[in-house]
Amino acid sequence: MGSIATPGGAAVDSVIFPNSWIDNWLAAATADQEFRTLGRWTTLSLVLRCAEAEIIVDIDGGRIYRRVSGAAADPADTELIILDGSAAAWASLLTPKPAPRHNDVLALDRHHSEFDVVAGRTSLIRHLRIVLLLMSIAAQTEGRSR
Amino acid sequence: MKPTDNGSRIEPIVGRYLQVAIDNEPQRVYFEEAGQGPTLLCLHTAGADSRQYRHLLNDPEVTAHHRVIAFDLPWHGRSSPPDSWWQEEYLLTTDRYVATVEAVSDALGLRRPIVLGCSMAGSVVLELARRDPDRWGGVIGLSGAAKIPGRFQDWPMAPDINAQQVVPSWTSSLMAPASPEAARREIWWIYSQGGPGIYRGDTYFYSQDFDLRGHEHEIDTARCPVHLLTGEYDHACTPEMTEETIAAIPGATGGRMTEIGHFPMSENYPLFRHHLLPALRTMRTRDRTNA
Repeated sequence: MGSIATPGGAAVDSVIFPNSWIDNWLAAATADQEFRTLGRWTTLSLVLRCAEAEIIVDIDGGRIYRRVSGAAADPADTELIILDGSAAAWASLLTPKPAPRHNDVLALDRHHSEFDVVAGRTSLIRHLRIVLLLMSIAAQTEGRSR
Repeated sequence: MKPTDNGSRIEPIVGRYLQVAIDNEPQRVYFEEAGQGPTLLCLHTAGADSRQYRHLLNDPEVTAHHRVIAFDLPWHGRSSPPDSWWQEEYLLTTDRYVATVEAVSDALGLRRPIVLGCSMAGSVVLELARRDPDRWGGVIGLSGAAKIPGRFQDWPMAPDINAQQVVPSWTSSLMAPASPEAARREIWWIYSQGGPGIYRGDTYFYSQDFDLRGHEHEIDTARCPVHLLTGEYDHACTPEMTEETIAAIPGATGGRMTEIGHFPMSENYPLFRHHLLPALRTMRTRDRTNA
């Protein structure tokens, strides 16, 4: 597992994943009872990628962290999921009222040509409940321009 | 049933067990029913059970006109698997599925029931109508179509995957986010209680064995009316798939439902009933006229 930092550290900001939004997202996840329960049995690295912008979050022991700026996804991570989408694909997912077939990762993966699970399909299935929960929390999180 | 002062009440649903031979194999099948009138026979989705119809069974506007029956397929809910179940890989086939519905209907002495099915059952109702149109008063298929690819997966049997949580999460993806959270979570809960490999075995029928393409025209809607509905958030059976099937069956009706996903009768019954009640009214009026 790579080095970690509390949200909002020296991370590079991006339009698609603004630092303020990431801070809010991780705080909301940390406050979520269902996440805290599921997270106790989860060790997982989740990468959200959009062109040059990429954020990596590590979930371990019921806690969630953003990996420090400059860190890259490590193929040696035993449970690594990389979700890669265009700005339009991410925008369609990360909204409180998603359109049909844009309502979660599985829907986008099947029906959106600009979204893909580029690594960790088996890990995605294994950790599907917590990934869908995290993305649902992300969709409800304020701090991104819509 | 009249509520007491503290709000408690007994629901009008009654559950019983049926001993029935299906393909010459003895089965113990659980079913629930409520209401009186022409029978509405309800079929649950893959990997689930008849609890999905509890809202419909409690709807007096339906039960005033229909005897509503919902049963658990063998291997599901409170219906046992057959003897020596551990010696076979559970894979539901079209022939087995049709034989099951027909055997249960016959054993209960039903006469031309209207059949309502969702997901895999929304597809099998098409086959019921095709094979024996005079047996049924009509069929209503939810989230069904002539061909649904992509739902059969092997991972539910993988030892390093907790199917008790993954299967319900996999299927929860198909629901509309605006459907009430308590209802969506109840569907998740029911799915978490499926037997090992049962969801997988059901989707063998849904996505592998069943393929009506090219045979849609063989359904005679003059003898057995067909009404198909699919929610716009369903990304397993998309509304377009259902609309293609409707177009290929002469005389079939239906279409898409807004703000609903794959499990209309359980994820948002108050909204779904606005689609269901007119369809039921049309079918029972037509069957009464024909009788």
